[in-house]
Amino acid sequence: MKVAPPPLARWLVWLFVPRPLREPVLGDLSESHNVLAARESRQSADSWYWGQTVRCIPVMVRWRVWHGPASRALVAIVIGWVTYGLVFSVLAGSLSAILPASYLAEIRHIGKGVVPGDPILGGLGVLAFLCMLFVAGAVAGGIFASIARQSNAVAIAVFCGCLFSSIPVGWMTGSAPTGFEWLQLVWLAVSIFAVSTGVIQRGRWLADVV
Amino acid sequence: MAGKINLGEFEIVVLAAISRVGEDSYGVRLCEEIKRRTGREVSVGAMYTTLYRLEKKGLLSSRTGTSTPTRGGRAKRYFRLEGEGRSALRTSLNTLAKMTNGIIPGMQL
Repeated sequence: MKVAPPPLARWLVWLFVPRPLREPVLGDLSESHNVLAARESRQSADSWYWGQTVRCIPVMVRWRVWHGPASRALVAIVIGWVTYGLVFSVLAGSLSAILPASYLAEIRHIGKGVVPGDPILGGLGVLAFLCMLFVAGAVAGGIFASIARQSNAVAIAVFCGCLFSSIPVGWMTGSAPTGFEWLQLVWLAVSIFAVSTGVIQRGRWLADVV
Repeated sequence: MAGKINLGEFEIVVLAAISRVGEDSYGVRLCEEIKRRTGREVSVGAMYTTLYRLEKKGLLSSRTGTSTPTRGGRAKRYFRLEGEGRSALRTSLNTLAKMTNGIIPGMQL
């Protein structure tokens, strides 16, 4: 005879267990609950079900947090920026050699709030704007990467799209390439590199670890 | 690839249980097998998160089975050990044996 598990406990399991695992977990719990109810008593079967529910919830919360879009995006960004920090510290000297000295002098002024030809946004305001775009792009990339687990290319494309939308800000600052625009392009390149690396590493390397 | 996968203690236990149970490897049977052999009470939630992770690593494959009224009409999920899983299990057990043999007199893995 079929005995139904406690409705509240069953609902809690349904609520906390992620969709891919829901069907087999609920089915197995019901099956064991029925066996216990037949072998011992309904009461002991119910308390066993509650015990399983209580043990199940923290496991599933941890699983959801780790596999959720926000944590995936965060891990992608952290890995990306660590890699970028290591690589860029090596390349910084070469990059300074490529840029003309006048541009470098201009870039140094940006930190003091001086952006040539831009009457509205100060240098720090523009940088803050770029940071916001970076975060928006990175989070979007992470979310896309988690939705379509293998589509790192889609994640990177979304991220690049968000970042390149900042280019018009650079164009508005003057018709000729300026130090600020150079800085902006370098920023775009390293940001794309950082998050792309993070997303790819998250997909390939951490998949084996977690 | 399988040689490079590091397995945790519980992952080794689950892979060994699947290897022993064979065709009938689904959550309830695996929990029973582990309890029978080790006395360890395993929660169904922990079992399935581990099975899901091992499947993502390519060590297991799964198929959906039949549903019965005692399961509330929900289908079983059967798991099968793949070649990579067998190889990863062998590597992990070899490593354990190399590290532990001789530590406790009279005990050998």
